[in-house]
Amino acid sequence: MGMVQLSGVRKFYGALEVIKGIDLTVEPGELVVFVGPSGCGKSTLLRMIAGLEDVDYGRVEIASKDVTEAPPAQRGVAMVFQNYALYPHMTAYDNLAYGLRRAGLARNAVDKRVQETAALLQISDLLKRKPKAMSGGQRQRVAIGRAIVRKPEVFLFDEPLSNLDAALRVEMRSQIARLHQELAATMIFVTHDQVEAMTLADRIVVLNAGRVEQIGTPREVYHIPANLFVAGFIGSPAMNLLPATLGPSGVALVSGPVLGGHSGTGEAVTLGVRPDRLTLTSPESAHLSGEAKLIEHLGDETILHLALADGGALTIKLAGDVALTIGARVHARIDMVGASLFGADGRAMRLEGARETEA
Amino acid sequence: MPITSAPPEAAVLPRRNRKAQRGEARAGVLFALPWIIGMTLFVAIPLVVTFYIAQTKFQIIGAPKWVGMQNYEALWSDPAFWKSAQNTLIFAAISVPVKLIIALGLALLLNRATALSGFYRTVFYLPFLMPAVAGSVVFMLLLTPNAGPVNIALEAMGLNPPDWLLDPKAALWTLILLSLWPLGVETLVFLGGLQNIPKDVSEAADLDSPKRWHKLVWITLPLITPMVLFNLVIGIIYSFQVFTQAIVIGGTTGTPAEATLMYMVVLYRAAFRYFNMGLAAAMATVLFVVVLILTLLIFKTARSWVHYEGGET
Amino acid sequence: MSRQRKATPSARIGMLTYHALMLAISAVFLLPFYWMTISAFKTNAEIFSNPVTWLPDPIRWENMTSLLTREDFPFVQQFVNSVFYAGTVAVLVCLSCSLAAYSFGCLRWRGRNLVFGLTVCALLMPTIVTFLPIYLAWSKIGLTGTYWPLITPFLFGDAFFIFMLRQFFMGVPRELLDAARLDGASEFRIWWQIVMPQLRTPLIIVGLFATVYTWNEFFLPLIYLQDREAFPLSVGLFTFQSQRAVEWSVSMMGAFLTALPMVALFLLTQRLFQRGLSSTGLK
Repeated sequence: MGMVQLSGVRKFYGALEVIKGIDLTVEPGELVVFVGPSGCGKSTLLRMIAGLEDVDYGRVEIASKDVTEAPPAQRGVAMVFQNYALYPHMTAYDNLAYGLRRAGLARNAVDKRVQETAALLQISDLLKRKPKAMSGGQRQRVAIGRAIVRKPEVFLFDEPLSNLDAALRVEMRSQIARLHQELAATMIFVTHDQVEAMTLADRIVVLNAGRVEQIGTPREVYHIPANLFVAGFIGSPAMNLLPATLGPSGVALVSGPVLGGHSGTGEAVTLGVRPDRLTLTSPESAHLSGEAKLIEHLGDETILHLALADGGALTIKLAGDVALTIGARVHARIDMVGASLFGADGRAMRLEGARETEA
Repeated sequence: MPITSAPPEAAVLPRRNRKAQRGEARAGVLFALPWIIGMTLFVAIPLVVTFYIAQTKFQIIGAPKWVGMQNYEALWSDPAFWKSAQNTLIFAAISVPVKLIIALGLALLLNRATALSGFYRTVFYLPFLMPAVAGSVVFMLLLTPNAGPVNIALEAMGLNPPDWLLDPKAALWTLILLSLWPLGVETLVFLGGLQNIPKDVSEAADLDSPKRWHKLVWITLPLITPMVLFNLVIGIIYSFQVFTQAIVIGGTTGTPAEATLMYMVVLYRAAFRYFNMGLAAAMATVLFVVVLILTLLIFKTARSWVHYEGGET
Repeated sequence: MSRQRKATPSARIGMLTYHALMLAISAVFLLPFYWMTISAFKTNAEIFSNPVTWLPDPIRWENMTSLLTREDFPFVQQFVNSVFYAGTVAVLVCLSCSLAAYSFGCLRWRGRNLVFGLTVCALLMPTIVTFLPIYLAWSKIGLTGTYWPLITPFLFGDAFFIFMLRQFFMGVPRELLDAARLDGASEFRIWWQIVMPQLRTPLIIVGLFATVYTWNEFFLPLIYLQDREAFPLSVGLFTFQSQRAVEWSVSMMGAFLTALPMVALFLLTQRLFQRGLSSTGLK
């Protein structure tokens, strides 16, 4: 199984730079997920690895071979597309066999590979059917089969699950995870869906505007976001980002309360707090108070959206079904364990023993 | 690629070949090449040569002789040119808009699902399949004065029908009337447009106002203006070249009394009866200029009245 | 539109009025066809009988045999010519136009929009503006009087059919081409093995349109062909009619048999035809 190595990869559309110098190594057998908002370049980057888009500067290596200028079919990659992209006029068998035939494999070798792959994916009974006669999930399996059958160094997935309904998506997700384990294959997976990213990935690459914002395991990206962008992008509901200053006695919210921890000389910072790191409390011990504007009762949890006195907003995630009504005055306390602190440049600062001192 | 935006390290990392893009571009040009050659051979070059021949005296035999604007001067003083230009303009100016209005009306009538919808569509489309020669011959028979079935029927109703194609006063109008018969293509293009109007838009309009004509004026018509533009431009260009019906009915002289003499017939006559290629080319050039100006005018005004969804392509 | 509703009396009257109106309009549209057909099976005297007769009695089949054996109207030969002419053009159009349409609809290349813009200009270019030099060139080569001038241009493509086909090619998802590229197919193979098989229906539609247009084409065969034996039916019928104007029954039989193949072709394939039409529309 191949390693993928990108060094200094850049791409322009005319004068517009869409990929701004990316260095990345995907280890053999690793499943890496590219996430980011639409237009961040994640699909473009994947297509550059596939050879469907050109690399303007830099180098792409697959299995230690420089393939920057190699045609797609000679890179040892296989791709699963968002809309399946099965050849509609061919049977599943021919869809699987097409690439092998192009590679010049003998007829019985093709047949053997197709049958093996079909057995692995449990689509043997579909082989005679055309895509039109299959369900969405079946088509997706055939599309994955078309990738597997070529025994590539690297599998590329371009938002392959976004066209499936919710139930099927979960099922296909676990199937991809299983395949990843069984084949021990190197995989790169593009998605805009965080849940997909968090559940599938060995490592996540967060992209924004053609740049890598952070590379890390799902837990790292969630708990130790490298910067404000990642903090705001990963996690749902999104992390609360509160303006604060670093005083001599620690982090102080603009609204007054001093939370302690990291001390400084009065520079402006942003405090990031996940919604589940806030608890309801009495007015006296509250760090923040606001009016409930929207309450989402999800059954096992309740999500509160508050309007703060200073005009800011705050989201709180509470376990269980909390009885509150809109307009209620809510007082919240911040648990500094797991909170993040970002400097004026948006980069994360380390919180030293983020323990709260009494105000 | 603007070198200015290249970063310092571009010196270290060399610019890569755009293999994929180049491969696709090469294929794109190769696939389009036969047509590019075809367009050059059968459209671009002939167009220029037409302009040239228009300035020569050229009788097919022998070489063309440069005469400057003489052919245009000859046209200016040729009554047949003016007569045919007048006939053609009247023909186009009435036939095209009337045809579009009727076609639109038929499309609106057709735009509902009934057991007979398929039948109606077929019926409206059939005239398009009738070879123009055959259609014209049939109409000549139908409209024969006195003995033709149309006049027999009209006389039986106590009317006093005209002599249609044989009456110099009525012949051009009859020709216009006949040109309305094959309107299936226009109707179905409109119908296609009507059926592409999203159901939710149509239903939203029903909720907004119960009056049917409100929906027609404010929703339906604006949404099919692209089809109107298409039919209008194609219709004008084709009606300026009306030939088959005219020559079947009026011959090369536009009987009766040049009433059906059309521009294209005069051009044909100049080229293939009198072998005056220079004059014919001059006529072609004049028509080209007129069509060009008209088309540009239509497209120019189209900006203000054609609704484009998304503006894609 | 066709929601099931309990028909109220007023709705039923509306429906009846609608169908009465549509049937009346249909009758107007069909009358020329009907009159042509019955006249084809009448004698000249019967055609102009007063009062009019709505059915030929007896049916004059001899009109057909006399048409097929006349020397001044070699109908069978001209029918064969028309079939050859329309058939060849239809096949050529499908092949040549799908090349350019693929390029315009599926591939990205610099200059594509310019060339396609020129194609639209060519589409709007009146034939009358360009036919003279082309005619002169063919007559110089000495090929007037043959079908070469009528057929050769379609070897290169036709603006209208390229425009029409491009709409269909644009509907082919780009991902499909990408998948084929990953599978190692060459650009030519992608066109032939991946894209063309999916567009079988549009290609048949375009072939049908080309057949009808060519079958009914009049002006170009009129200027290029000189022999009665070489004419297609449109020119043949015109020549006969303009020389033997009084023989209405033969003219009508000729018109009937000229129109019949296209009407039959249409009725057999009308679904495809109408699909093609709604796509000639726009954008």
